[in-house]
Amino acid sequence: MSSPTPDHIADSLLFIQFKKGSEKAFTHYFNTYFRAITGFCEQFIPDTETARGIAQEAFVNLWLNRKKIEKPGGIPSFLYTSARSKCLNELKHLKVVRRYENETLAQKERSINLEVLQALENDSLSFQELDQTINRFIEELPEQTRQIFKMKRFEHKKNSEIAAELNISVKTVEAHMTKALSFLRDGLSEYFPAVIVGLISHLS
Amino acid sequence: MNSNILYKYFNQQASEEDIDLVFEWIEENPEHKRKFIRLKAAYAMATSAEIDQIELDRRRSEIKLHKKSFKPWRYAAIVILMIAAGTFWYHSDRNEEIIQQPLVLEIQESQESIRLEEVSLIKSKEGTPLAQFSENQLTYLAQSASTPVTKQFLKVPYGKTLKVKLPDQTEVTLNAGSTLEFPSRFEGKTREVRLTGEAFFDVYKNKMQPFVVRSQNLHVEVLGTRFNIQAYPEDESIKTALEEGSVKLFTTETPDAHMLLSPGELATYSRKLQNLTKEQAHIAQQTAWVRGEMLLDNTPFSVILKKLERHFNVKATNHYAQLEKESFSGIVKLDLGIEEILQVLQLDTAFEYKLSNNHLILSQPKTNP
Repeated sequence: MSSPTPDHIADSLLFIQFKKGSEKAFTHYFNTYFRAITGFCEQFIPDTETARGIAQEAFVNLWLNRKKIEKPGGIPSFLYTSARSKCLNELKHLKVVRRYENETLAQKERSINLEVLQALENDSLSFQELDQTINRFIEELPEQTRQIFKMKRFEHKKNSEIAAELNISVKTVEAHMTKALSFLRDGLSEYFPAVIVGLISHLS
Repeated sequence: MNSNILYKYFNQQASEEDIDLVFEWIEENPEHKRKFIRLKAAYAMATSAEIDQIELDRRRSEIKLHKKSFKPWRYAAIVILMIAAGTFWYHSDRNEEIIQQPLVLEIQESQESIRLEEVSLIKSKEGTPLAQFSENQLTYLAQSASTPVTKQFLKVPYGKTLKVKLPDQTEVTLNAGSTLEFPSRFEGKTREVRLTGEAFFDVYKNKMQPFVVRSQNLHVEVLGTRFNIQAYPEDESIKTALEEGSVKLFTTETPDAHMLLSPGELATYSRKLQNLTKEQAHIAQQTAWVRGEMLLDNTPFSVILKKLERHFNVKATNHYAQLEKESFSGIVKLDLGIEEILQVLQLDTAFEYKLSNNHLILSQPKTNP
């Protein structure tokens, strides 16, 4: 369906129900955001079970704090913020994140992950702003790369499913994801001037 | 740094040699490190985990939500209320027994009337497979040019929707309370179907044989496109909303003139005035039902009520005139159920409702709103 939903009416009734304590509305948000929040956690905590447990905790936290959330867009921000601090905590207490033959590699990985999470911890960072920036960025990707990136990000499809649906090879899908990453890398300073770049420049 | 290696690393597919390269690059200079941190942060925000629906449901069910701390007086109040509302509860329970009409396919020539939910394969009189029914979708199979054409008549009752794939691959989603008539095989210059009620069409492109939807006085001719037609006999107008492609509209009053519609436009045929007008419209609002949603944008209560009647197979009576003047905005998920939807609407404007059997009665709130 190509017609976009105007922001002013999007989800407002559902959000009211959620605030009033509707479990169905909660489940709706769970289904909408759980994969994204888990994807975030797995970037920092390689153990799948732990990462998914953290994501679940973020949702419990969301439920407990639902009255404080002012608008529907505040939900993903809250979830990311909550997941970020839980990941940070977990990582601080974890000695070994992932086993490598080369032990110093595991150490390096842990410390860079800590740095990324700390960079994200700054209070001035609005996850919503970041999310919107990423969405804007996606819109500027070349057509098929954009389509594939969206199928992953919004429809949570596997590379093999995307390949089958678009009648291309899994390798091509991976190539497009890599391309998206290149764009992201080259465009970061342009797309994230106010947010991450400013934040990170005082590090290292 | 090679993006492919970074991609593999972020997806936990990189070899240890590759990861070594990543860290070598990071340590090369502070600029690289900054770049990596930015990229990883953005990638973490942009990525999603591969979790199937089964796991998603399991993860959700593991979360137990506690609504409120135990307050004895609340329960006392609920017990009293339950006694007071005893009769209502009794009826409310019986509400489960709503008489639900079946999905029916009638084949004119053989005078057959088939209940779709009871079959999986529909055969022609000659015994050749005609269509398959599974998971609420009816799929017509291609017929050889020698098979006799029969007239198919589908009835979708209130409370149900149905997806149909026609013999030419055109996909039609029929809304509650609709009928569609079409041949078992399209022959001749045009592919013609007849609709009452509402349907969303995703027409298979075939320039040689245009697709025509007839609904009372309005005919819609298309080549290949996606659009919604709302033509309930009890409504004052027939609405055609175009999502993609282009369509031509004809009326029986002026069969020689036509109106051309572009994507994003909504045409309204007024039965009373017998005229056709068009405007730019929010097409997603017209097609929301296909996705199981009701999209309200300053929508009058009367329109909402009519939709609820059709979707949930209820008969509504409104004794609260003021309510007719109210309008609502927002997205409602239809799978929430009619009571939850009414309760959401109540948050906006106070009213009382009573649902017993399949009758919904709306009235003025007893206390001040």
